[in-house]
Amino acid sequence: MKTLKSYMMTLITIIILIVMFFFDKPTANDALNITFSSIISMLKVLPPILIIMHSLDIIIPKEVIIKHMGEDSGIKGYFWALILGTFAAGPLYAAFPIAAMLAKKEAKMAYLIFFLGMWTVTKLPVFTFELNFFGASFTLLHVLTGIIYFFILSIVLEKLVLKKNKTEIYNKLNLM
Amino acid sequence: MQAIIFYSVAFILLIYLAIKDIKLAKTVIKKSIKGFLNLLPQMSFILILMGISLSILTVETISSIIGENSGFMGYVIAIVVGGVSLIPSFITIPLGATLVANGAGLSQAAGFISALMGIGIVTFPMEKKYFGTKFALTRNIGCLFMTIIFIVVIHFTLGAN
Repeated sequence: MKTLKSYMMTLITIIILIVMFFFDKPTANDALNITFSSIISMLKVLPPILIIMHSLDIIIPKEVIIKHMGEDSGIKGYFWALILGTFAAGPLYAAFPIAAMLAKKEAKMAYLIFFLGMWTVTKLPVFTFELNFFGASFTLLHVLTGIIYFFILSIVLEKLVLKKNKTEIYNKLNLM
Repeated sequence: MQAIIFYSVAFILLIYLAIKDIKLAKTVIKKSIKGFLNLLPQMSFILILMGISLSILTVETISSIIGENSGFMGYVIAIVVGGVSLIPSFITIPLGATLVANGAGLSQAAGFISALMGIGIVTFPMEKKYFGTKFALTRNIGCLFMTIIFIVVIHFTLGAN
């Protein structure tokens, strides 16, 4: 029963898809094709990321993360978060297991927020594409705005907005 | 290419662990399968919803709505469409460029890209599963502000071109 309930939204979208087939077959076909290609791109990324993160969870000692991205790592922690976010590939949901792994090893929350932010801005595949399609000034403005903004956001969220929720968030991440 | 790298790294790590202790490799596989199944309900919903919305919203439709003179509404639509869509990043940027070529304004395209990368309405259930509602909510709102700031930056620097 619980399984059925958790797939409720999926069922609804499948029903919409079926209804679409009766009203507009070409669009429905498109929808189906796009869905399949998104499933493929998801399968290209998510299963290996999960395996890599669970492996690193065992391989990397907690002390290493605490030392480089822990409560007292200062600016060094931001540097590592930037590196991790830059040398990444895949959609944002692929970053969640990585953040979870870091949280398990007691990485500071500000770095996690900054890391997720960098994933959306400096991620290498995006960066190179952006450079090609939009030029250097556009890309530079994007990266600079992103780094400054997410640096401030990470502090604001950690110190003000999410201060009381920290334990709760880390407990949740530990379960993943 | 990306997939080959990911799967190779995963495979090498598994072998490394198996050599150390076969039990470790087994634990990793078990945990990964469990994690995957845990995400599957949200994931399957997200993927089908994406298929449906992208079949309806084509490049021409989007670029005609967020054209150079679409004004304030153009920005709102760029952010909303970007926020609800889930498109691989190697498509996002060329798509943004195509939008500009089809008449969308540069700052609207910037908003579209930034929202697309940072705001995840459809991935929200998944994000919530990892971080809880408050974190997911504030991170998304945070990315909304990033998008607005980026639009303003582009508008006042490169917007005239």
